[in-house]
Amino acid sequence: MIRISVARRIVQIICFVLLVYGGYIFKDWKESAETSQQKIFPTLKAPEGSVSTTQFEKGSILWPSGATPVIENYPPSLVCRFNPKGGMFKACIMHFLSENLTWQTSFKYLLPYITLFIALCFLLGRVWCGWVCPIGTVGDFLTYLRRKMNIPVRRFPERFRLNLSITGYSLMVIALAISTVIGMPNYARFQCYWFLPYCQICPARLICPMFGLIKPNWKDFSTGITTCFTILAWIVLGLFVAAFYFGRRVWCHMCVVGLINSWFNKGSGIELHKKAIKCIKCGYCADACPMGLTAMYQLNRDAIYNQAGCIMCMRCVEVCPRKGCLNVSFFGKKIGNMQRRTLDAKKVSEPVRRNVA
Amino acid sequence: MQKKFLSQYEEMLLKNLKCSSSDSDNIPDHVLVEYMKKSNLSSMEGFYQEILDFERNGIDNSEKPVGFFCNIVPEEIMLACSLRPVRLCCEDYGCGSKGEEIVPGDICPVIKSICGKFYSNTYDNLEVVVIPGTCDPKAKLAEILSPVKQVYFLDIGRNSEYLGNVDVWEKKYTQFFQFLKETFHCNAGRRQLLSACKLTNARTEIFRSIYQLRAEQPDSINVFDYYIMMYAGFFMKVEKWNALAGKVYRQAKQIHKFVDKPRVLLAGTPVIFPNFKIIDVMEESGLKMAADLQCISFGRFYNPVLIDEETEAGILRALTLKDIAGSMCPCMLNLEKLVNLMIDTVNQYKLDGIIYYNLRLCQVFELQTALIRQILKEKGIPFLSIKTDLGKEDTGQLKTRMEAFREMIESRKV
Ligand code: SF4
Ligand code: SF4
Ligand code: SF4
Ligand code: SF4
Repeated sequence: MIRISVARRIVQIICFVLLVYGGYIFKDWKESAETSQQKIFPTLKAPEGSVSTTQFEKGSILWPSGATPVIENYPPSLVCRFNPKGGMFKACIMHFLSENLTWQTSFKYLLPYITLFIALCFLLGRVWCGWVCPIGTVGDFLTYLRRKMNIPVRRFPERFRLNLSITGYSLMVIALAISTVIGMPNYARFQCYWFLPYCQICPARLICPMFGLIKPNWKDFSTGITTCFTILAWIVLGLFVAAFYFGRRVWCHMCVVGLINSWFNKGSGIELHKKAIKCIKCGYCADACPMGLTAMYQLNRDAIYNQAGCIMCMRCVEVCPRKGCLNVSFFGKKIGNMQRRTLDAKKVSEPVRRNVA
Repeated sequence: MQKKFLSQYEEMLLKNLKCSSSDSDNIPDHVLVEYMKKSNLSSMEGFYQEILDFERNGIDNSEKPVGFFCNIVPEEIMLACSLRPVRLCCEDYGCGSKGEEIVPGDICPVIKSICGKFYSNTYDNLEVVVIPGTCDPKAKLAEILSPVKQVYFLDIGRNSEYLGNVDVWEKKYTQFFQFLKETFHCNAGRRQLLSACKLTNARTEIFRSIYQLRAEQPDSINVFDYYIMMYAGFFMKVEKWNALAGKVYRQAKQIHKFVDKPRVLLAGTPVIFPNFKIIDVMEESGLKMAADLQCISFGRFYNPVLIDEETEAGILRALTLKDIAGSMCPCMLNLEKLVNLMIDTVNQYKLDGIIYYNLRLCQVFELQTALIRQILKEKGIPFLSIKTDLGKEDTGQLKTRMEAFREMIESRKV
């Protein structure tokens, strides 16, 4: 069987290509996909007098976000609106929430989208982060570069990671609050500057277009507000690169989409189990965890150890040297032996044991 | 770099401290030949030959040999510096009584043998000996050997179930790596470490196969051959050991020998050649050692190095996790996992009982016996604790106890 980490890399690369370059690859399908979708998913449109992404010109921060994606939907990953040629999916959930709060779209139009989003979350939990998210893949590539350059990883204390999550939640709340406020008729005049506040500082906005060789809008110093957003975006991008380059997936503690995702991690279809009696407390699992979690190491009884912070990369399962100690199951069904192949004792031919009761 | 211990008094000590050396230091060939005859595998000959050569000629000088004790000292780091790690743990009766000229008689037999060997110039070839601070006598040994040898003392934190210690260990390993690089003027780095880990991982793979084979069919490789292989692993080159052990495994796999005798797990003090008393008696009383949890075999070979961060620091960290965090050494705080491992091994291979072997005067193994016994009693696993020393006087008594244990197991089965 193929090693998990190799399988994960392959899936990540495939997902990256699909999600980022989907706009190029499925260029011809776009129309037929659009019509068939409209039967299930209502079209979300900006109301009269509201700003929408299609109207931003080259030179404004939210350019280029006007292109139509292949599928007008919002999977639980950082699938960016700013992907070249619109990408595969419309955008991430943060974009969806901010946009529709501003547009004051009625809830009944949103329901199908939200239902699908939650269903996807329940199906796979944060596998969306560990295996699918293109920004996570970019980050893992940065980590790969660091390792090649023999630079040791920085390990951050629990407290620091907690603070990152708090920062993420604060950003989320602030961004959604701004989106709601500018949706009110009295404040509609602020929309051209404050529209999609989270996108304006999101690192994906700057990173994704570059994969289509489009120069993103690095700076807009035309007004005070845009200057603030430009500088904030630089800071966040700097944090992003530093977080992935010096640590492993440190960014993912504060990514808002990841945080929303993490609410569903505990009850999702993918479950990680520990069999405590097998554990020799070697600590490989805790050491290898890119999110710096230790629950699988600490657990002293047989239990499911899905945690909010876990991105389901299954690295812990792979590195555990004790066969059958850590396991993965999908809706209660155990997924084969995920351990490193070389560590399996060779099958002894005809293991007949007559003296075993 | 670490300073030399007792450097001010070195000359005084060297002048007066000496052990008598005699020709009978080496283990006589006939002891080995006796076990060789019991072997049913032709491929084992290579290992016996290696040990004969070693006992006759000592450590060969082709690569710079470095002596070490315990699993806590990372072999991979020495291999990466292209040194030859030679494990010196020794339970030789003859050397033991010689060591008593320097250290008192009622302390750890391993320390006694080691003192005997070093103070009678048996290990002249070694440039450096690495001593870990696992137990108290070992720590003192670093000072005792200092006048005769260059000693590197590897100090560690002993709570192996506390992740905060990993940083400490990583630092200690990094210092050790640094020391070796400076002492032997070598330029090892990440690549060398990686290839060393690859070597030992290959060894792990072979060992796991052998372990599993023996657990299911204990007579495919008999217990003496098994411990001879482990002992040969003390000083043989890893590549060579791997090749020979692979041959033994392939040959043993063809043999299907079933024995209707109780299969037991042997835990506790390591069985080191030539002190095979305990397994001799076990065989004679009809108990089959099917699996073991000793530091020279399971502890040393079973865990692989799993590297997550392929940086130099990451590899050193992975080594600490393998060697210290995952260790079964009774000097560390890790009783819970040791008991877990005992129960799990018994369940997994459907073994009949556990024999816990204490070498008299080693306190750490003895200290935990009562706790282990109590837990296993609750779990309903037959448990026999044996306490003995290097001498042969109590063989008869041991045999009686083991036979009683066997009968107890057999009566349970019916
Ligand atoms: S810029 Fe960020 S928040 Fe906006 S759509 Fe892209 S990923 Fe989502
Ligand atoms: S938490 Fe990380 S992997 Fe998950 S969506 Fe955010 S950036 Fe992507
Ligand atoms: S890697 Fe496995 S055996 Fe080691 S501490 Fe983690 S769960 Fe336990
Ligand atoms: S707990 Fe395991 S699966 Fe979750 S992020 Fe850590 S290593 Fe990956």
